[in-house]
Amino acid sequence: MQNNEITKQLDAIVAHASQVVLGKQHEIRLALACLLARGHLLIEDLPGVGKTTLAHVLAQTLGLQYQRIQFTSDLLPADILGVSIFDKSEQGFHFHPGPIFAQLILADEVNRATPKAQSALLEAMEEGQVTIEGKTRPLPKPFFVIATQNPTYQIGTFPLPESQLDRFLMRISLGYPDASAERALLTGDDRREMLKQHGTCIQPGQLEELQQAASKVHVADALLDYVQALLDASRRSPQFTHGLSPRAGLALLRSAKAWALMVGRNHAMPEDVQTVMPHVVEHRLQAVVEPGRDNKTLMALLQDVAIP
Amino acid sequence: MNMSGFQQRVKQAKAENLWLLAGLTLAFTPHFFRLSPLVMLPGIILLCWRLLFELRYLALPPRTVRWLLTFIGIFATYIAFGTLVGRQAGVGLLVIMLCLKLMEMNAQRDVGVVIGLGFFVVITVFLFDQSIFMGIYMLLVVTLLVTALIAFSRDQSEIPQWANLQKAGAVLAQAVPLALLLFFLFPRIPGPLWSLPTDGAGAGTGLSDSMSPGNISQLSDDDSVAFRVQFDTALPLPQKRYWRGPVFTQFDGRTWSNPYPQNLTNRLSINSQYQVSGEPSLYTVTLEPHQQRWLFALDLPATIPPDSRLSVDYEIIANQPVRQLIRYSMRSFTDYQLAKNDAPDISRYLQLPAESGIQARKLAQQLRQKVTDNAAFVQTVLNYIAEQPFYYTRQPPLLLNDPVDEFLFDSRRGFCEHYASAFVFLMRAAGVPARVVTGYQGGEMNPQSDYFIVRQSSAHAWTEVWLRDEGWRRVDPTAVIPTERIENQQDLARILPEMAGVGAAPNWLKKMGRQLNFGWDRINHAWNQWVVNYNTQRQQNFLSRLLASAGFDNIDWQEMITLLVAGMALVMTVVAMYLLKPWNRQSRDPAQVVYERFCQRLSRRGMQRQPAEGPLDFSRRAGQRYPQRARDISNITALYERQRYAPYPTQKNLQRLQHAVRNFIV
Repeated sequence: MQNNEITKQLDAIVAHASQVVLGKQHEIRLALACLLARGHLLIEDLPGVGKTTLAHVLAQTLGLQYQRIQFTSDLLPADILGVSIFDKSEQGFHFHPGPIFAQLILADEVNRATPKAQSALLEAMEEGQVTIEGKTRPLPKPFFVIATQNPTYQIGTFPLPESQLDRFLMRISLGYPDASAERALLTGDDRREMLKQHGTCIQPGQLEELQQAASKVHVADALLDYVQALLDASRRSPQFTHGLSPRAGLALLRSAKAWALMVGRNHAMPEDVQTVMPHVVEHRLQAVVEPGRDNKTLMALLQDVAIP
Repeated sequence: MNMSGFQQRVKQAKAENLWLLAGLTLAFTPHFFRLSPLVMLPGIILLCWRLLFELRYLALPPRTVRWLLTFIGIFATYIAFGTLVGRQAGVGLLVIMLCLKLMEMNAQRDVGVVIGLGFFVVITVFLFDQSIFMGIYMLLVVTLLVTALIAFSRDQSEIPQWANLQKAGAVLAQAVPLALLLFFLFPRIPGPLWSLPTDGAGAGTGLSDSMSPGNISQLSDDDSVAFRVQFDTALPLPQKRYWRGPVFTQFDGRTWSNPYPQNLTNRLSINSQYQVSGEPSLYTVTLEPHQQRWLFALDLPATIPPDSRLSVDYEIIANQPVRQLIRYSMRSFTDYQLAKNDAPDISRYLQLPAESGIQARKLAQQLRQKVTDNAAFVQTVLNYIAEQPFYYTRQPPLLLNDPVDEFLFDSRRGFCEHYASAFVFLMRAAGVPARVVTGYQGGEMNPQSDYFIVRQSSAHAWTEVWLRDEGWRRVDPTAVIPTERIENQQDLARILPEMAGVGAAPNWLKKMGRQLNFGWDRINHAWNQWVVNYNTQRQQNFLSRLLASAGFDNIDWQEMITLLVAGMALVMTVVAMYLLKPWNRQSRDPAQVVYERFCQRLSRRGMQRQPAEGPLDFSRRAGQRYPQRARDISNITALYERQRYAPYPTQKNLQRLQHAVRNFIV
């Protein structure tokens, strides 16, 4: 695929999804970039702003097999992974795969479940396979998890520990739509109906190609210098309890490459890093001062570090 | 008070002002305790007032009240010190005025001024106390002031305050090499830097210029150090360790005194009858300030230290009172004969008060008649003291009417001063020239180091008697008291030099205490040697020794300055290398160099690229500002992007970039 073809196709996907999720182009692009970078996505926002719809529309547009798991406080690991049940006719145990065996999982309200259930999902995310009753079963490819999360101050939430937050490449939030988008939403068709009619935009296997293209985006030494300067600054800054890990650095670079591809470049620019940085880094950093202010300190960090 | 409300107030107060108040409070504290309560009270009130203002509980006083306070402050200082100049009054005024400045510290500039003056207050503290404790304490104060300075100059926003403190620590640590260089190499001016104005009689511990044994009922046990001695030759024998101080010749029946002798000399041998034998002791005395003019030396001094002269009684008298630690090298002969066959100015040493000691005079006559010569008489009197029930005590009864008679015939309890006084009285009553010598006797080696400590508790009084064939002979009447008549066995060492160390309970706790004491004294000694008393002489010696191998011999101040500058340059170079790390810097990308030239050209027109602004963002912004140039700008940016961020940059592309930038005009 040529570069401009890729761009065209990606733009088409975004346009397609934007018909359902209104006024959230940037967020859709970020979510798509996350998938291109082979990362899992965490969407954090209030209930009812369209988290589920976004996940659903992405699955549909990309032609992925889709499963939704609603996380509740009584959800058990077996509910996610599947169980073996004795089959009388075959006189043996028969494995019934759980909802995790799908290409795109929507883990809805992931922080409503107990840590035990959460960890079942998160291990699958990391390994790309699950081990049930001693047998390792590979998960389908590609395998994405889009998890949604309610703000932690809401009642009945188990906040994800930092080590598990780290598994998500990006964290985005949607926010309220603007006035015109909201008007269109209110006057338009039911979103569920639209989803049903929604077709796919790409051929099977093309997603893999896009991911390949994203990983091949060129990274110059100058950009690496910049990324390292940012990592270094996060480690030196007294504002954060600890700096960014090497894994966070890798995530940052991967996301920047995917974003470069999204905007139609075959090399990453400092601007790409700056665009994805808040979404990649924010959930991995802990600001010293006060929670809720971290975005501001992160912006200060971005403004302080000169582009070499 | 609502706690969270209070915390809120603290959080919202200006951090630099809180640091500054903390620093000033600590800096003032030594002054508060040293100077008058008339300074302390308003000082504390004003500091609290400012603190309450910072926390928004109180307003600052209006201008009229400030004027009033200023006059009151000046008046209070005048009342407290009787003057506005001089060391104490000057510092008092500085403290008061600085506290008052807090009442009108509004502008940024005021804060800067007050921080600067805070550092000055730190200096003034050392006018009074140069101990190691004060040094460490003031380091703490300086850290706080530097923190205030950092908080003051930094943007107030997000930086947590401990980070400022940490920064201050780092800044001070970085200053250490420079401080050391300046300390060791900056040429010292001989003599004190400025002569401190005197503030009346400073209360000094130690020996005084008169002696009234009957007036003391409690001899204090002051273990502070009088002076330290470093011997270059072997230690003198314990019974020869008499450190000569003030000599008293005049007695009014109650008080022995010696008005500062008039006819001082800087010739060593006052008369020809100065004979010595044996090897001299060579040593260096480091004398603690005692506000008097005597310098102490082993009997009998054979040199006169600089800036001092000798009296006829062989006292060494400094030209100025000893107000700061001084060091002098001495040579003494512990075996000597003085004024043999050469009658001294007899009347001076036979003077007795007319009215007192009637019985004592009778006793002297009686005893004198029993023997043939004066030498035998001395022995008789000593025997008298030894045989009669005389007791040594540190809590003697007060002698109210006639101290000499009351002591000799009534109380018979006393310490060295009583015995010396009575003995000289008896000698003079029988016509034998005699005088009271005070000073220190004994001392101890610091077992952890190589110097000798003489403490105030070793203060002693003894006598000298003139005998025709022998000259002046030292007689210590206290030493003849039999040990069983010494009330406190621990005083044995005080009286009998040979008994040093005997009688003290061998208690491990006490031993450990002594060890600690010696260790601490050793640190103090080093501090005195290397910091407080690092004067011209010592600087010369130290540098000459240090640099002898480098071919410097007898370094002068020009060489010191040269070394200083060279040393500073070296330190700065090392720091610069560390900060800039030139070995880490790769050769700069030519594309970047060209691009920076382009940015510079725009910035000259006021279009400044932010350091964190990406080239694409900048291009967009600049294009909006100069729409006619937008095409050139985006063209250059594209070339730069290709050269610097895209795969396979080419030489040709670089040349095009260089060309485009060269032709670029805003």
